[in-house]
Amino acid sequence: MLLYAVIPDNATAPDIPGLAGRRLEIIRAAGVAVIVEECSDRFSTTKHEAGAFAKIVCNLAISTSVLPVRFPTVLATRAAVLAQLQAQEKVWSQRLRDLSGLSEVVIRAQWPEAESDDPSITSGTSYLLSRAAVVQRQKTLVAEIRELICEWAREIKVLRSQQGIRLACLVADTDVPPLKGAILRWQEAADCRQAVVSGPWPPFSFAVDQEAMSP
Amino acid sequence: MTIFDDATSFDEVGSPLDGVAANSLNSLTGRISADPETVERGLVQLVLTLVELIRQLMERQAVRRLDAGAMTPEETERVGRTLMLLEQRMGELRDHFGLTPDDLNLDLGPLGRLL
Repeated sequence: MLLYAVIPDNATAPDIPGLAGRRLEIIRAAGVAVIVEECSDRFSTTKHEAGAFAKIVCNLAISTSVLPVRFPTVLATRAAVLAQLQAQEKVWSQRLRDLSGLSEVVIRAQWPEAESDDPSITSGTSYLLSRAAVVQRQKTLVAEIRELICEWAREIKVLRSQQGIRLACLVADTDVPPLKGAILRWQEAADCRQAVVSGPWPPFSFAVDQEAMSP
Repeated sequence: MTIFDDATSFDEVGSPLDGVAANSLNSLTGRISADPETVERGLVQLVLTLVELIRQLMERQAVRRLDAGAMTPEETERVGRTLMLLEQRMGELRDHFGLTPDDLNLDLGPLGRLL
């Protein structure tokens, strides 16, 4: 059984096919349920398959609150799924309530960054100073954007990023447009600022109740 | 500025796609592929990932020491040069084995990704 998302126990199963082309089903326990697809295939974690999985979860989130389950989480039997549901029922139902009406928005911001083969980096000292400058710019940028969006963001996580910064923000559905507008105005205020905002998404980065990471 | 209102636009840059596979309610299916045709490349990838982890940890520690003023100019030059050469060498090794920076990572299930 491939698990897609934890949902409230009173939700109905959407009539959409899963990754293996079979109909999605709901397995219910007291207070919480999980959407599954019966399958015997093993799934690879390629970006393509993860993206296809995420689209299905996005479709589920249109009609109900969801806690996305990590892809590819597969349990052997219905009994195993039910056992997980019963074991996690309190935690998952509480988190579902916490996330009801909230979505994830991802903000990526960056600046023109010196390449590691920058010809001005000719010594060990200049290399280390350039790295320290990048770290400092990241901290400053995170603080600036946190300040900018704190009015709307219920939780903020700093995501890993190879370049620039990426922030996942948990916001009320009604607060998504003003948050995007604030980022747009922030970017337009200076030529060197580059930002991309995406969402609203199901709360992929907030399914587990963890403290927001600090930069 | 690009704002994706379309919830089908999944890419690594703007979307929480890494959270789809790296953030979890549980992590029950981690497996290691022992396919004979790919095990050598997989082993190299694993070793380089661990070296990259150590390199990044060393670099972060060096930056912290630099910010704290805890290194002499000679130390700064020596440590910085070591890290610079190590990064160059890692790039050469990645190229040699046909790996990208994104390949040097591990999914640690509920803990997220290693790098």
